[in-house]
Formats: sequence, structure tokens, C-alpha cells
Amino acid sequence: MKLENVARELADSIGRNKVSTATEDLICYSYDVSTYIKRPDIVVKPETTEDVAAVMKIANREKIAVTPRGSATNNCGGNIPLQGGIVIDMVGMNKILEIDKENLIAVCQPGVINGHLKAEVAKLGFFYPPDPQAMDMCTIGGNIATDAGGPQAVKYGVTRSYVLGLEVVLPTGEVLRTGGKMIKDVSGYNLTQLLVGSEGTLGIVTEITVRLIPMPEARRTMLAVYDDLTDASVAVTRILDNKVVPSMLELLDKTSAVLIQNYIDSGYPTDAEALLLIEVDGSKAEVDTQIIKVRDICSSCGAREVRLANTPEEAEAIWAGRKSGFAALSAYKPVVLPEDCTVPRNKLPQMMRKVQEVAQKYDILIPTFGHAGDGNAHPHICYDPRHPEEIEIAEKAIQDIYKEAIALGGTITGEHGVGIVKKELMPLQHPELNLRLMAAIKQIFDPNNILNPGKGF
Amino acid sequence: MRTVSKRLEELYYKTDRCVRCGRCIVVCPTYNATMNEAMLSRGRIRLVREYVEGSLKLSERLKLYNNLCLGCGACVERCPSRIDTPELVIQMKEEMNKQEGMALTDSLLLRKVMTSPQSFRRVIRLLSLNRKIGVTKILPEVLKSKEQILPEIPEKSFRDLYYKNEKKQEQTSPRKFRVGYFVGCLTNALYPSLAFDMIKVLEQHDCEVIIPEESVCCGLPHQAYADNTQALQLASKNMQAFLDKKVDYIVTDCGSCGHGLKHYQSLDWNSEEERLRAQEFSSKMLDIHQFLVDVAGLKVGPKPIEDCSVTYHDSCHLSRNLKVKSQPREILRSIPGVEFKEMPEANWCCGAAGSYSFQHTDISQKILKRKMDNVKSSGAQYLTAGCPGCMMQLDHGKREFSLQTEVLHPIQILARTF
Ligand SMILES: Cc1cc2nc3c(=O)[nH]c(=O)nc-3n(C[C@H](O)[C@H](O)[C@H](O)COP(=O)(O)OP(=O)(O)OC[C@H]3O[C@@H](n4cnc5c(N)ncnc54)[C@H](O)[C@@H]3O)c2cc1C
Ligand code: SF4
Ligand code: SF4
Repeated sequence: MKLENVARELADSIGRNKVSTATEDLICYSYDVSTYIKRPDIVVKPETTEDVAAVMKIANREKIAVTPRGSATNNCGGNIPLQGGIVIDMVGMNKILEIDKENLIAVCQPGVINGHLKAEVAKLGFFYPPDPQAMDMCTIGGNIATDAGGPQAVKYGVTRSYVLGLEVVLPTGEVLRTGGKMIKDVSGYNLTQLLVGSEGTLGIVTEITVRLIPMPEARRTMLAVYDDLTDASVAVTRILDNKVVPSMLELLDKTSAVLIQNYIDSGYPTDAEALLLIEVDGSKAEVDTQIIKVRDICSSCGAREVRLANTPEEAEAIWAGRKSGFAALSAYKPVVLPEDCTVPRNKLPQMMRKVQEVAQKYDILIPTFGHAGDGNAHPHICYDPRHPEEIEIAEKAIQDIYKEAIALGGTITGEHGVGIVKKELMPLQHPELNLRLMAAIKQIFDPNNILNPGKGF
Repeated sequence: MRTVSKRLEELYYKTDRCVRCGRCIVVCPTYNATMNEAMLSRGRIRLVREYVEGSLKLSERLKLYNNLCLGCGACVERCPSRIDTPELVIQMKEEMNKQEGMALTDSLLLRKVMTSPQSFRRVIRLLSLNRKIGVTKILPEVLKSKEQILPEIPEKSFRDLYYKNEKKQEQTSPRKFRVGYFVGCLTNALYPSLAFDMIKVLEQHDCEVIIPEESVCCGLPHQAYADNTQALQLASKNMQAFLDKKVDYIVTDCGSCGHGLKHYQSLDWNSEEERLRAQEFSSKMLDIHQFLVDVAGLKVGPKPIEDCSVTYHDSCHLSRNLKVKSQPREILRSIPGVEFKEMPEANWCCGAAGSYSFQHTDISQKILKRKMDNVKSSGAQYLTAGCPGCMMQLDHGKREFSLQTEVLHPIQILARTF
């Protein structure tokens, strides 16, 4: 069937106002944060699970590619419709369906913004911890698909740790329900967890059930300043060795501290080699003893200065800088690729040193910050696309960094996803057997390979 | 690449820095009302880029999407690269006007109606007549369907009352400041009592108040519709009207007029001499709240006002373009008897944005609803705003969503103490 007939059939079945083939609309759904751009042929904006199922049935029959989209804040090319076809925009399904106070559970649609869910449950004294730094704009659906995490992962884990159940429309148009409100369930393979992190290649998430926890009573923030990057990395391991699990434990190198401080005044010193940003949370008594313990460890590891935030405002200022990290670098160069290597925690100092070597080798700035407590570093490769020689160097630097990450027993992506961007690196990390199994799973879910084709592996 | 104006080309290169991070999602009112990427700064930028690069043709839809930007500037504040989407949108409008001329109704509205306060007022009166007795075949269809947005129209405009019916008071003793008061089109037609309150408050602050009869529309609508010729003509007239009177300051009660007047210095002037004059004019221009708090020294009158709670809405032009945020709040807080209640998202656009609410009623309405929900949650009895454009929209919101809140200008509350 011709594409325009498909568009007409889609309009007839889910409603004219939810389907567009206008060039202007196609252009607006042709990108994400990655550097790729490709126009789809049709944009659909479903409002219900039935809409999504209807779209998938037609697409599967006609073997037309479908690419799911949330807020398009991923940087791995996850939203790019490589084969054209349909982009299915999930942001219109944005209702919180239930906050169940007795079971500490929330049920929501995929288009709900992460920060909105956080704020709504907080009003009732609950806490939904997954905190990708794009939380004010990214959707829960996108978070499920990329298994998003953030600074609080060191204590609270990532999205995966909170998902209890899903409603998913399969590529065939069938509606699958997995899990539910129960905290424990060992019956059969865990399809919920298979779908988390599947980058929109196995099914389209239409409803999500997540677990909440009580909001910690108190929190306290601290900034530790180091003249030596290795000292800072050692401090990270030492803190955790000493049985303190901070709720956030972030490391910034000098280059990023300078760029961030230029962008927004966060009180970061610009002459230090490394900064550690630490938050502890828990009961009031716990927080008071822990923050002292952490301060002493930081000092004993060679911190030149340790600053405790005395008010929530002071704490907020310290974190505002970290949260603006990507923005600050974007203000420095038009293209910023946040690389995403994660290594076993004790290998982090080696990883950070390697990044510095690479920066020196190519004579570029590679501002690096990341979730030190998870061994997750984000070296940022920055360039100006109007200077082709910068692109070439960037590509070489990226290769060098990931070779080192794999050699240290790490991964090519800790939280951003594979998409198009990391596809070539997959065989570097995964043996052939693993890739074969993944392909077989994809085949069972999506026999015609229509859902987000060309992504992942 | 197409050949486009130099300014548009410059802006195009700046948009290289849109990293598509989506931070504008958090604040863009049109996106949040429609959940459509084309209604988001990120999408608008993409469209302009493809147009300039030649991969997108001029179309009705492109025009509509571009015109649907409120120009509120919320995205600029949030954007890591500080991309000026409102300016990009205006330059794109100019480009489209150049390619195919301005739409007839737009150009009629701008050239015939929106050039002098009195002709603006005549149209408004016609609209209100229409509401009362349903006369008009003569009104353009675009206007007819929108008249419900207008508040009750007073019988007489400020100018009618001030120049014709009332004897102007002669100043006796010399005053500390010689202040030109710019009475905008909306204050004149819809809120004459605000203008009288302004005069009262200024006089209480030791000012001689000059209101030149020759002043005309500030020209902001023409700037926004990229009608540069008209904008320059209007600016010249106003500059003459005020500068000839040798005033120390020029004040206004309208955030939008204030922004338009401040912008005179950046218009595309033909001579250096005119540009310097514009600079002089713009440097004397202050918003009323700014003038009272930062220059004159705020005075509150002795009359007690009954205990009441007041909230404040930030006009986009006032808060983002003129950076006046704290002064109106300071004025309200310093009035005994007033309990100031900050509403959530006070600086979220109300959807008025000049003639936006007339032209794109649907979206404007959705944006307004969000505002009114926030007003309601503040629980305040009075809703104030430093811009009659916002006041008109908020008044409409109050009727539409059945709120009890009374809409006023902060100066009107201050005036009650004298
Ligand atoms: C400034 C900035 C900071 C960031 N910080 C972090 C961080 O700290 N941690 C982190 O993990 N990530 C981070 N990210 C990346 C990004 O925010 C996450 O990947 C996020 O989960 C994407 O959500 P989204 O709504 O934007 O989804 P999109 O980008 O639209 O989509 C992401 C993927 O999910 C798929 N998808 C979307 N919705 C659905 C659905 N309903 N069903 C099935 N598949 C779907 C898409 O096809 C795509 O493959 C950051 C991004 C930016 C721009
Ligand atoms: S915030 Fe700025 S850089 Fe980010 S997507 Fe919006 S316009 Fe682009
Ligand atoms: S100016 Fe306002 S409406 Fe226009 S893109 Fe920016 S935030 Fe959106």
C-alpha cells in the first residue's frame, strides 16, 4: 500500500487530528539530541493504548517502520526514523493514573515527565528516586526504554529498580501486560525487566507501574576540593569502604568545573584539579553523623578544602552547577557528545587518567564529570561541526576512550543507551553468543523487524 | 542556502548552537498547551534552519507555526546557548512578509487601527457595540468572533476625559521631577481609571506630569509583525512629542509599551542623529514601578486599606525584557493591610501577547487556563499585573473560568492609599 493510503487508513482508524504527513511536522520529528537527522513519512500522536495498538497493527501488516518518541532527550539516536516510516509521539499520553498510598505505588502513562511524577508523589511524602539530569523534560516512557539513572543511583539504583509492571503494545499490535503491584513475583521469566532498557525495539510502553519509597527525612550536601584527581577518586572508594552510602557522589574534573562556573555561579573553585559533590540522606540523626564521617574521610584523602552546605539554598547552588553541566558545555561548543563509559568503581582513577591522556594527545578539552559512585564517567567530546578537522579528532578520541573502558572490564554505555551511536561498539563489548541471543529475542517480539529497526545491535 | 536578510543569516548561524537538549520543554507555554514539537522553541528553530538551508518551502503552515510563538522569551532564559527564538521568529516573519507581503487583515489592523490610540479605541467601541446589539457587518470576520475577550468598555476613553471634558490642573509650585507619562492604547481605551491613578500617584511622588497629546502608539505591534517602516514613523513621533517637552523621565504603566519604547534605540534608524535621539529617549524611559522604587523613592499614602490578599502576575515584557520583577512586589508588600501571596509559575505567559489572544483563540485559551488555575491556588482576592494587555486577558480568564478575583494594576492599589 502506498504511504499516503496508509496515512489515510491511520487517520480513519484513530482520528484525523492525530496523524500528520505535513512536511513541517515531519521536520519537527526528525531529530533527537544525537547528531543524526532523518524525516519520517508520517507522525502519529496517540491518546490511548487502543490508538497505539491500531497503529502497530497497520504498520505490521504493511511492514512499515515505527519509531517511538518521548521528549527526544536521548543522545544515542534512539528517536531517528532510520528507514522513514512512522514516528509515534507518546507525549500526549501524560496522565498520572493512580498514586496508591497503601502499597506505595504509582501508575502512570508514558508521556508523564519524570520531574512531574516526582513532584506529585512528593506532595504525599513519597519519593521516586530515578533522577536522570534531564528529569525536568524527559518522559517516564523514555526512562523505561533507556533504563535512565542519575546521581542518586549510587544509593537508590536506576529506573529498573522501581519498575514493577508494564503495559506494552507489541510490534504485532497485541497488548501485553506484565508484572503488577506486587513487590515479589518469581513466576516465569521476568518480561518486565527484559523490556526495561530495550530502547523501544521490543514494544511500545503505554502504562507503567512503579514502586515508591518514603521520602527521607533529611539531607545534607558537601563539596570537597582536590588538587589531585587521583586523591579524589581514592576518596570515593574510601567513603564506600567505610560503609557510608551517600545518596549522591559526583566527581567533576577541572575543565568541567571551570566551564560550569563560567556558565552559572555555583561557587566552584576554578583552580582545583577535581571536585567531589556529595549528599547524604536519611533520618536527621543519621545524616548528622554521616556527613561528619564523610568530611573526615575526604580530608584524610588530601582534600584541600571541605565545604558543608548549611542551608537548603546553599545545597541547591552546589547541585545547580552539576545539573547545568551539559548546558554549560553546550555554551562552549555547538556539538557536545556526552560519552558514557562505566567501569568497575575501583578502576575509575585509571579511566579518568586515560581521558586526560587522550585530551593531551589530541590537544583538545575533554571536560569529564560523572557518577563516581557508580564508576560512570561522562567524558564530553566537544566540537564545532563547521570545522571538519575537529570532527575527525573527536572520532579518534572516542575510539581511544572506549577501548580503554572495555579493557578495564567496563561498558560502552552506562545509562545513555546504544541506539545508532554505539551500535558499532557492541561487538567490542559483547561476545557473539550474547548478540545472537539478543537477535533471537528481537525476532520473537518483532518478526517483521518494524519497531525502531537499526538500533541497538 | 537561500539568500536571506543579513540579520536572519546571523541568527541562523547562532542556531548552530541549538543542541536539541529540550530544556525549552520545561517553560514553553505553546508546547505545553499543545504537546506539539512544532510549537516548541526547538522545533521552531529547526523549521527556520531548514527554510534557510533551502530544504523547506514557504507555506501557510510554516507561517502559522512561526506566528504561533508568543514571543514570551521564556525559552531564552532556559536555553544553555541563549538562543533568541523570539527574535528569530520576528526575522522569519519579516522574511515571509518580504516574500509574499503581509496578510491583508494584518496590514489593515497594523496600519489603520493600531497607529493611534483613538482609532484603536474606535474599533474597540465597535466591538463592544457589536456585543450589545449585534450590529456589525462592517467588522472583519477575524475580529467579530473574538470580541468576547474584551472587558466591559468604558463609555469614555482617558483621552476623551482628560483633554476634552476635564480641566487640566495647572501645576503651581515647582516639582522635583518633570515626568512624561506615556498612555498606551489599552490604558486609554479600556482602563482610563488606571491612567488617573497613575497621575495621582506620580503627583504624590513630587512629579509634574506631562501627557503630550501628540503621542501615538508605541509601535510594538509593528515591531512584532516586522513592519519596520511603520515602527520607525511611530517612534519618531513619540520621540518628538516627549523630548520636545524636555522631560526628565518617561514612564509607562504598560510592560509591553515599555518594552516597545525601550527598543527604540535598537531600531534600524536611517541616520546616526536619529539613533542618538532614540538612545536618549530610551534611556529616559522607565516602567512606573521601577521609577517609583528606584528613582523617586516609594511613598505609601496614609489612607488605610481594608485587609486584603494580593497576588502578582509577571508580564513577559516587563519581567524578561525590562527585567522589572522585584519592584511591583516591593510596592505591594509595603502597603499596610495587603497580604502578598506569590502564585505558582507567576512568570508563565498568560497568553495575551499583543493581539495573539485575538488571532489564536484556542491555544491562547489553554494557556490562560493554566494561569487561572495558578491564580486560584494562590487564594488571593486581587490579581495584579503591570501591563493592561495582561489585565485584559486575565479579566477575560476571570469571566471564562468564573473566578471571584478582581483584576487590577499594582498602581491602582497603591493609589487607594492616597
Ligand atoms: C541535558 C541532558 C541530561 C541527561 N542526563 C541523563 C542522565 O543523567 N542519566 C540518563 O540516564 N540519561 C540522561 N540523559 C538522556 C535522556 O534524558 C534519557 O535517555 C531519557 O530517559 C530519555 O527520555 P525521553 O522522554 O527524552 O525519551 P526519548 O529520547 O524520546 O526516547 C528514548 C528512547 O526510548 C524510546 N521510547 C520513548 N518512549 C517510549 C515508549 N513509550 N515506549 C517504548 N519506547 C520508547 C525511543 O524510541 C528511544 O529509543 C540526558 C539528556 C540530556 C539532554
Ligand atoms: S533549550 Fe536551547 S539548545 Fe536546548 S533545545 Fe531548546 S533551543 Fe535548543
Ligand atoms: S518565545 Fe515563548 S512561545 Fe515562543 S518558543 Fe520561546 S517559550 Fe515558546
